[in-house]
Amino acid sequence: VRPPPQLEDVAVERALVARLRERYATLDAEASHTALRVLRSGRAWLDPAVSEERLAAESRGADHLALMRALGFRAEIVVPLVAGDGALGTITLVGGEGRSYDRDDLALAEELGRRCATAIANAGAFAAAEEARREALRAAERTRHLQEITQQLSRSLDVEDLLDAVARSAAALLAAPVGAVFLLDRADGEADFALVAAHGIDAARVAALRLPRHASLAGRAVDEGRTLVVDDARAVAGTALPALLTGQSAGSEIAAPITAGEERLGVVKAFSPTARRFRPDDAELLSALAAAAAVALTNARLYREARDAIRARDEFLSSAAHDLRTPLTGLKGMAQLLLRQATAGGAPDPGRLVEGLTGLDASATRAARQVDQLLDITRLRAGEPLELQRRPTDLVALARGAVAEWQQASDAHRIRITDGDAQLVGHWDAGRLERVLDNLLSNAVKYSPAGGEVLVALRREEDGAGSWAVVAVQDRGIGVPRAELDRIFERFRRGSNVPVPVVGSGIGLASVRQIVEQHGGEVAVESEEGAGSTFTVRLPIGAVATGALAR
Amino acid sequence: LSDGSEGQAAPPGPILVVEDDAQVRRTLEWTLEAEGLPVRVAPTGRRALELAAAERPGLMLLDMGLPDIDGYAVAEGVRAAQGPVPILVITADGRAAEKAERVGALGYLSKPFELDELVATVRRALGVG
Repeated sequence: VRPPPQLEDVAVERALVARLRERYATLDAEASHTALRVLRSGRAWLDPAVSEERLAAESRGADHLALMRALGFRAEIVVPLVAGDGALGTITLVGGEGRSYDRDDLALAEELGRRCATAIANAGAFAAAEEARREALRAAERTRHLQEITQQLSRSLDVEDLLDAVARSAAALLAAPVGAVFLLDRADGEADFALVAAHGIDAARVAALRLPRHASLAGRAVDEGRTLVVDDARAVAGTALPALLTGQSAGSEIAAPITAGEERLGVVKAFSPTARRFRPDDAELLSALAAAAAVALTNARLYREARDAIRARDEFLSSAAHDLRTPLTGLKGMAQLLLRQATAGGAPDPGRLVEGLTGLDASATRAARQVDQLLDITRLRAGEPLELQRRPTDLVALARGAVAEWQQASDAHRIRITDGDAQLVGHWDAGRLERVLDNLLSNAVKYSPAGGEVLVALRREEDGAGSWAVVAVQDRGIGVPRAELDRIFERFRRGSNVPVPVVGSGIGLASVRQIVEQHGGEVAVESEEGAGSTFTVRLPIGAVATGALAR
Repeated sequence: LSDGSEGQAAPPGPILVVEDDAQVRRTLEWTLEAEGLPVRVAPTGRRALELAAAERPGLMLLDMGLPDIDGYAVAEGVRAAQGPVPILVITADGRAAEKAERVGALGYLSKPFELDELVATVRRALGVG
């Protein structure tokens, strides 16, 4: 019995019957053929002398009748093939050329039918078991492969290696010729996809390949948060993968979103330019691979961030030590020099004595300021607020002092205060604002290595929120790349265009922002790479209590 | 030719101190002067190049971290103008020996240094200590 509604001869013995079978291979389930009756009733059938009427009734046309006659069709036995509850088919024995059948023949045929049925049922069960076993093996093999890949991914902390492994694994797992990873360009998940790794394609086609964020299979997979399969890639709008990567646009495509928590990172895709279609278990596998990739990528990124933070901290510590050694050298050297003169019994020149002691004091002040800054930075790192020492403070006077100090340090730069108010007094922490000005001027000098003008503008501004003291420091130096302007106030962050020999800890602007914001103010930067930068600090001028001005 | 120096090599030029920190610069200048040595001082790399171009230094004390141009550029510029000039590197970071070797210096002083050490190192470099 083949799946309904047909009965099919599956074995024939004689050449003539073979020809019958060729022409009349299947029997209609509706027909009143003996075999069908036997099959339905489950009872054997014996006709020791087939009449002409029956022969005509059973025949399936004139040709058929002629053939049966030529065969000498005389007697017939039909036995059912029954195994368990199911009728598998029938065996028909035809007594041709004058041979008839009796009851003994029928009993023998029935026994034959039973044994055949058992054998057929066993063979069928065995084949089904074999197929199930093979399928289970295939599934186990794929699971093992996936497990192996997952382990391999979890071991790697190098992002490039990881992405390559994911692309390669997508192709291997799905037995597809092409695997690829696309990542979203920005953390907010709204930029286009960029190809970051690919397997099985011409490397020359890979560079700078992008997919639209929306209206693409990748975009839909990311938006719907599930793996999507397309049987015919030609039907997908906005996917450049097949045509661009393989030169063929016909084929099946599959995309699984890579997401870490809420964050959408990108997709892993596979493409098969042949007729092979991806199946539901392919989608499951690729989803599992994408999940493993997301974990591994997150690990790698955290590792890289931790490593960068440690390196930045080490550089910062080394830079902080460096910054402290210079004032210590001035302190120690001058103290030893004056001591030498005193022990030699000579009276030091009074002018030089005053100058030397003044310098000693300045060096000590500088060292103390650096220690203060270090302590503030540890608070910044710990996310703790500063304890501001607010006193009536004149920003103009602080700026004049800072400008004089930096003008003395560099004669390649012309540092000057352009215009503005004679006094800008607020209730501020004088020591910390000195540090703000020191950092801004230090950057202006440091990042304009060719020298030139550094302008410091001081003014008072009024707006709906009240009065503001504004100081802007403008240089004509190397500037800050546009893409990095947002991040320039982060800790340990320096512009990518800063030449290597420029000493710096990447902490100055983070400190500036910390101090200014704690005063209720704000700091902003405008810059053009190669043309210079302007840093603008705005401090609120509240009611100032009367009292002595801080210096 | 009448000042009594016939037959002697030209006297070595003054010591050029290149240091941006005013107090350290002052300390170096006064200490070396007290030793009877002629000293010129420059707070920046550019000033150092000007001074060296005007008068060949006998020795250069060179701080590597200057605000305008770095110590390597200063050393290169001075040598291009005046030929080989002995250099002592002054630096505040932990890589003094490495920097001294890179710049082809005779030696180095790590900040903070002792005055005795300064004087001894300078005299050794001048070959008169």
